[in-house]
Amino acid sequence: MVSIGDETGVTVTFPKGFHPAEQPIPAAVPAVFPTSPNPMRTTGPLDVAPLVDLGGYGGVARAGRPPAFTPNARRRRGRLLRRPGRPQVSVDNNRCRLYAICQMEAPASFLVARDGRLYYDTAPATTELTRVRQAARLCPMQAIALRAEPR
Amino acid sequence: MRPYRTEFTRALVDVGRARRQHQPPRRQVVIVGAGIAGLRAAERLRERGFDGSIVFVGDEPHKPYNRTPLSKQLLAQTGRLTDLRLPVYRELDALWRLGTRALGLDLARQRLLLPRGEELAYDGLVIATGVEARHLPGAPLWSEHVWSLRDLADARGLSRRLALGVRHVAIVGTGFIGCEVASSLRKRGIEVSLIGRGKALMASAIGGKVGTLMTRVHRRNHVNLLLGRNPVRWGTADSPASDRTPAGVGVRIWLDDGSRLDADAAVIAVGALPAVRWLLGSGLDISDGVLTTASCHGVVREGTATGVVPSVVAAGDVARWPNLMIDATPRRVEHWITASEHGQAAADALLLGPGQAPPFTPLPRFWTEQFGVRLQGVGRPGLADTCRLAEGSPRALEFVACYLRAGTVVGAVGCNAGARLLEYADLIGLPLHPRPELIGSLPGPVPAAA
Ligand SMILES: Cc1cc2nc3c(=O)[nH]c(=O)nc-3n(C[C@H](O)[C@H](O)[C@H](O)COP(=O)(O)OP(=O)(O)OC[C@H]3O[C@@H](n4cnc5c(N)ncnc54)[C@H](O)[C@@H]3O)c2cc1C
Ligand code: SF4
Repeated sequence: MVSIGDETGVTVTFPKGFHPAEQPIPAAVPAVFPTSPNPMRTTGPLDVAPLVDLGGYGGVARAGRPPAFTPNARRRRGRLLRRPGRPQVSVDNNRCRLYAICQMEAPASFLVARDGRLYYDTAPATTELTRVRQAARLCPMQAIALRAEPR
Repeated sequence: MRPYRTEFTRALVDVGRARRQHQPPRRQVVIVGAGIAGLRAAERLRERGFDGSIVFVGDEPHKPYNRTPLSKQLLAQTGRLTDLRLPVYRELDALWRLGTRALGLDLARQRLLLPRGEELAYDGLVIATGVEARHLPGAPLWSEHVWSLRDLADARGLSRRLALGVRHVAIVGTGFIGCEVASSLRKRGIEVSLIGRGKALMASAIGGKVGTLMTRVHRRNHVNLLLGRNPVRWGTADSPASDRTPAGVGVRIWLDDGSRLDADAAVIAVGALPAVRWLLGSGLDISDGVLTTASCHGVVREGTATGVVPSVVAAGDVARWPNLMIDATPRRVEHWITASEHGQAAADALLLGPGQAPPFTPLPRFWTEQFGVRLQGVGRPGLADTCRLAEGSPRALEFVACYLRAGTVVGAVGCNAGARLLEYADLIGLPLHPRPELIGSLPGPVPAAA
């Protein structure tokens, strides 16, 4: 198991072999996802790729150059890339009890996979923020924290 | 020059005055009950751009906090007081009248009646007073050794009593709160006796079959289960002489089967009653909670005539409304997630009015954790006539059970099931038979426990 920790104390845990630094990012998202009517309620290859690699840019460090579609991201080598002004999402692993309410509220940003782990987007898209906030409000264990972009 | 200037200044002053006079008056929304539903209503009002004033009238001396850890983490001493904080993502800019109990409501004049004869005018009123713990007839709740658990004051009192040293606590009531308290106290190494009327734990909420499985979990964790029994007489160490218990016994409970139970303290968790006494005589229909339309607006009843009040909405545990997703019968729901959503919907309903507001049709969702077993439910399993195992293994305590009423799915309960439950949430309101693949996986009812 490999974890990336950042200074906020958040850990994003990836299944072995799927650390972004270990694995090239899959060029195409597995076909099951975009075609199924409700991607989060199917049993596709949920436990094989962290959510950030399934949709867009998730604020987790990646090997190589930052993707072209994040022009505002501050490029700093060896650091997490963040877009300014977007809240950082973190889930307290010690509290989360996998009730998956967050997944019901914001299926594009949270995923309780079959391996019994929660995958989540640490920097959800602006269009997702309303849902992410609702997920944070309704989380039974109040494990989801949104905090403004530091610095 | 000079006369002209004076004219000009005067004209400016007139313009200012006219502008002030023609400005629409600042509207005022009063929220009665500073709980989760009230908080979410205020937040939603601001999110929708409401720029009038918001006044909270709350009985407790605290701003809204999360009640759900009171019986779990807080009682088990695995959590801290800061866990009760609730996040708010909008500046509320509200006036907090805490420690103030609403005493009455004058619908015709749109006034809330407060202590000392104070009247508070409102343009919109959100009723979110929640429920209060039901009193068990005969139980000496005034005693230092007998507690119920609804708010922070109760939790504090109980934990103060526990800190004085207890070895054995009797719990009356086998609903969610009673069972959670049992689990939390066992975690602290305290002996627990659980007294209940029914034969299975939490049966009214999750049905007898899953209830029986949970009964087994409690028994395995050495909870002394006294099921099918009722307390008939009480004595405590601080009772008047005739009922006083011998030294060293905090509470003595006589049960209706003739037995007697001695404990150091007792917790009473026999359900809740909606906090509607203050609405008596207001004209609102308050039989078992504040009756509202499907869109959260209050309903007045005079004789047989009924009417909708556009300026009054109710949300949370106190409201009784028809959830059209399930059926048209008005019911109360006492779930925390639903209360949050209800507050938001009520705020929208207040802004939109009864004509435009959509019906509030949430999927009721609840959770509880006892002895490490995570139970999670959607819909209204309590309404079901049949309970079927949908997948998993009850023996391993990892399963999903489906609840049917007249062949239609009304709820599902997952036990340590995580996201597997979500599939069944989509089925609510549907008859089970158009899903042959699901029928195929139903091996029959959950076996009853020995
Ligand atoms: C110990 C405990 C554990 C729980 N655990 C769970 C759980 O695990 N899962 C779950 O889904 N639900 C749980 N619940 C239920 C959940 O807490 C409630 O559904 C939720 O709090 C309801 O919110 P509300 O805003 O409607 O009412 P409340 O939170 O009860 O707020 C109502 C407020 O109004 C105030 N008030 C009452 N009358 C007046 C008056 N006349 N004037 C002014 N103010 C007044 C009260 O003092 C109170 O502060 C639990 C409840 C308790 C007590
Ligand atoms: S809702 Fe909260 S407890 Fe449930 S899975 Fe999401 S973060 Fe974890």
